[in-house]
Amino acid sequence: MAAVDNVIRGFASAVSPLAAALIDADSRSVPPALRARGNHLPIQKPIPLDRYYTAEYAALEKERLWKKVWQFACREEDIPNVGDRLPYTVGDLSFFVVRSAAREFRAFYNTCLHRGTRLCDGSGSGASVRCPFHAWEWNLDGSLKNIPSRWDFAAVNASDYRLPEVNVATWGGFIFINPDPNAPPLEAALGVLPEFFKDCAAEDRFTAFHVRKRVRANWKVTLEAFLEAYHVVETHSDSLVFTGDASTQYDIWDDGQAAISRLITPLGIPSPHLGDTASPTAAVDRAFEVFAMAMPGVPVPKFDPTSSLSGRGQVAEWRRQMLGAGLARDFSAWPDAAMLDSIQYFMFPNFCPWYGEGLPLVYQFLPYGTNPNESWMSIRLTAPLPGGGAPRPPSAPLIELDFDEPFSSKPEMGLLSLIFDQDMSNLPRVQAGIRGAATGHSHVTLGRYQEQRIQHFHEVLDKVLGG
Amino acid sequence: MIASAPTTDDPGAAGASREGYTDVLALAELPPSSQKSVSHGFQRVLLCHTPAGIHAVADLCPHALQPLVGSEITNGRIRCAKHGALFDLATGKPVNGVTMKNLKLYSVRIRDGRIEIAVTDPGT
Repeated sequence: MAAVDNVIRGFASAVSPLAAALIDADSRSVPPALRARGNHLPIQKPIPLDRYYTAEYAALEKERLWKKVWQFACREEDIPNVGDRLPYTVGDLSFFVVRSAAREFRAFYNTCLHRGTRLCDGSGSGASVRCPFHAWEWNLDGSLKNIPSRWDFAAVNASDYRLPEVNVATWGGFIFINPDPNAPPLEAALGVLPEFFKDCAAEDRFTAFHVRKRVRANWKVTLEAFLEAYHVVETHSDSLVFTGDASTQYDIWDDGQAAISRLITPLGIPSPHLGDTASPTAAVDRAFEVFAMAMPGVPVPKFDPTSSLSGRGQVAEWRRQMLGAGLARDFSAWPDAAMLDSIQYFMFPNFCPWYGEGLPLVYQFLPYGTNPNESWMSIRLTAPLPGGGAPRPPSAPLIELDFDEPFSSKPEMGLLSLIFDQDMSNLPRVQAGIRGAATGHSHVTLGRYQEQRIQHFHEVLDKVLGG
Repeated sequence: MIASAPTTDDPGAAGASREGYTDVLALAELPPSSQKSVSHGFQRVLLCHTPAGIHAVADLCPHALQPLVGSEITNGRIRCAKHGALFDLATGKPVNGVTMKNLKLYSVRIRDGRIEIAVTDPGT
């Protein structure tokens, strides 16, 4: 269904079709979600740069965004046992999420009601929550359990000293919180996500790798760097051989309550930037090599011109077999797009669950501390649960990377560490450039199609902060 | 460490690495004034044949982590074609401030007409 407007939706070459054309040519039947098109194109308006660094804007975000919206905190698998708890810290707000019963999660403000001590740091567990300062203690349901020298706190009425609780809800194994007591249900904020992830259930996956990086850039600068494939042409120039960056399809679904967007970047075709004479064979060969890097020792196939399958079809079929064998699962019905492509969803304000096996990641972007020039980016690599009766693998421990620690210092990430280091190398420069912009040009200018998700993000942010 | 002439080097010599040497290319495939990018495990390494000898550096400019191959080499320095970062090939040190990070170096030796490289100790 073509939109009737003058927006150019991607750029193909003679050898690199648009994502939608590749989906039409998929060797398998494709779920409706991957054929679905967005229902919203944001109005183009310049975005003032000062919202990326002023304390005033960060304060507005704290009061009107982080205290009011559904936001991803952690996954159920991160707190597998009753009593397990994790902090969720956004700027200088902090909450902790606890598995309070076998299938129940609660979240509380991470502040002792005695003298304000932060109650939960890191991944703890236990039958209660006890402050490390004076041992004030609460049950997992938030009720007051014990105050040493209780006789000295006669004015403390236990019912007034329950831990202040915030809304908790789950989808796809993801735990979300919302501090607003008047918040609508989570479903209102999830929008199309539950429907679109039916064929790739996020609860059917585990976290195989988890890293959190501190970045010298505002959380929105960091987020926006990952909402478009436009940057591939320069930042990941070494991947143009096999990445259909300009072929990427962008879609936004906005129903007034949920703000969801998606990109689909096809892999295994040359970038359209390389022109009509770029090599489709080289693209397929490089795709084989890149996917094979995750399986050292496995022979790397090459494009077979005698096969009845397209190049992408060959890579997808090989991946189905490799992943199927490695996980004792059956991927035979999964479309090529779900085996190869970068299919990244975004849920306002800061959460990106990826779909399929092309690049199975989860992103989360958060302000870090009280400095709006700093942020956290959390990245998970997920995998389907192994079949064959294997037990659920534990959620990978969190690896922290400080501001100047590159991803390449953690070799477990393989080639992905180079890609993320390429992205990270830009961000401090963006933040510095933003702060020093000329007065007459202190705004962001966005591509109509390729950067629409960034435009939409600010459209929704304006609405939320405007009260 | 660079080999200035086709010769067999003692791996115990100055600049020797912790790990073993890997054969990566025939010397004949790297004529004078040429450069070639080769694989070394998961990394790419740029071999450069300059008047001073054979240099091996990471084919990855530390500025924006883009490939260095194809960059101009003059007077023992390589200038990254992407954004102009300039490095001393012998020391890996940045020269013009586009980045303050060092270019990663590899040790080189020539054995039986083959170029062999090894990861250089971080302190070198």
